[in-house]
Amino acid sequence: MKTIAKVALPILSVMLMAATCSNEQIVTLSLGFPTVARFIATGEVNFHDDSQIVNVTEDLDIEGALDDADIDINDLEDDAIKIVQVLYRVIQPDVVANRIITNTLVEVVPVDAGNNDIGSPAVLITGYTMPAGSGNVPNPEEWIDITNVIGTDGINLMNDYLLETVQGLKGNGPGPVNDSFRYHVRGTSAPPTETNFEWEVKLVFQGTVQKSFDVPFS
Amino acid sequence: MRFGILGAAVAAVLAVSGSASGDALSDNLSTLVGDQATGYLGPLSKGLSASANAGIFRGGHVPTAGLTARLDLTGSYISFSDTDRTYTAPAFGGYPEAEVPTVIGDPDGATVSQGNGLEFAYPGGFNLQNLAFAAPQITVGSVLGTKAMIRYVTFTVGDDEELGEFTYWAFGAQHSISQYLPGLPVDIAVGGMFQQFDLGSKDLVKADLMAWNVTGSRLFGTGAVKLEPYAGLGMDSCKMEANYDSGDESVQVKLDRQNDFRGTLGANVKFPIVSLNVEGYVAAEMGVAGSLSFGI
Repeated sequence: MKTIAKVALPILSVMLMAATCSNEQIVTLSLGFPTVARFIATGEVNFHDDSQIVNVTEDLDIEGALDDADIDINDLEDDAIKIVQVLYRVIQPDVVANRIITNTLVEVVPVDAGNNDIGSPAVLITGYTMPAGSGNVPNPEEWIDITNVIGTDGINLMNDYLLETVQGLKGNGPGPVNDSFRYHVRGTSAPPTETNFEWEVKLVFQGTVQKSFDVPFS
Repeated sequence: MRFGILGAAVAAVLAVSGSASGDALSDNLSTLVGDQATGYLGPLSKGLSASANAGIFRGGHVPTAGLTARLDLTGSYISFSDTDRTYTAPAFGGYPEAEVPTVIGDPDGATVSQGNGLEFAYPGGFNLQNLAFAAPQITVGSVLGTKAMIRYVTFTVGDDEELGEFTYWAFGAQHSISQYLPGLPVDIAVGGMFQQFDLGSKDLVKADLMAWNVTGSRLFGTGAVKLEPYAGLGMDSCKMEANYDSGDESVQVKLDRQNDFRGTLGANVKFPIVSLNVEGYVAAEMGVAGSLSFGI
């Protein structure tokens, strides 16, 4: 039995060591921060024109997300969070099966606490044809990626806001002057009958940060 | 870390189930969708299939009747191949198709640019070269040439409420075929085992595995020490899913079921009460396994 123990114990030790040996790795993490605006089109003929105010600061909750991920805000570069994607989906399709909104233009503008516009609007989405009818939205609630129709001015506006937000959280600046944005939507509704559908647009922001981990077997 | 009854002996080790890296896995998944997430997690499914399905069927001898009971400590080890370190992320929203790191790949990640100036950052991997897996197994028999095997491990991963419990359980059986074929020079048995892994209170990573095997072996020696070489052919199956939050949405990613043939060559060295085992295998990945057994 003593001989057996001499053989068995080293093998057992090696197996357990294999299960615990680790190396420090610096890994690039990628975090998603989405914000969604919902619109309801009711009774409009020919034109779809609507606006919504969204508290983007509250939606993104950057501090909370970083806290959940155990990431210190000071580990982020000031420009680490940027807009990367725009998505569209229909929640409630129009009963008019072939309903579309053509030449869709979505502009965004910062608003103050009194919901007054600050500065000029920037084009976020331009030239998109929105499918909106029950016949051309086969999978309601499924997001459609429309990042390819995003406008440069909208990108810059949102990225500037994110830069100021991170700087503010790090104590390197006053933070952005606004928490909310007005989304102003316009487009041509076809066919020319009453338009009734519900839809959402989602902006996805992404933050990258490097973090150190003890990774086994690396 | 609080261990369950058998977990005190040894924990089943998933390479990314450590507290901090498990959190990071959840973060990295939050920015990936659909084929991106399945591509990122793919090597975990292969690694788990290869390592967890190893060391189960260690011989073809199953007594027809009589009490046998063994406690095994089984370990398995694989090296990932270079092809597991990247996957092809599909084009989307104007971003081009790109070769980017998997969960075991380059920790630096990869960035792709879109025509209008946007940049999407694919997360880095954890630079894993290998994966080891260990679990306790209890084997009892024999009834009508059949023995049963169970495995169970549970523990709390760190102090993290989101990750929560890691639970692994398995049950299987092996049935003697040679009892029906007297005169065969080797013992032959067929066996199957079902295994399930759950990581996280919200099933962050969940996997079901199934292994089928035909094993042949022959016992040499008549004294206190016996040698039993064996060979096995089988089929492994692994189905993995990940569940995580992206903003306020719950996302479920199901990886395609992974099916792989398994070929095994191994040997048992049997002492009274104690047995040692080592085997090499070719399955979803190549690897080696070993075990230390106590029992009658």
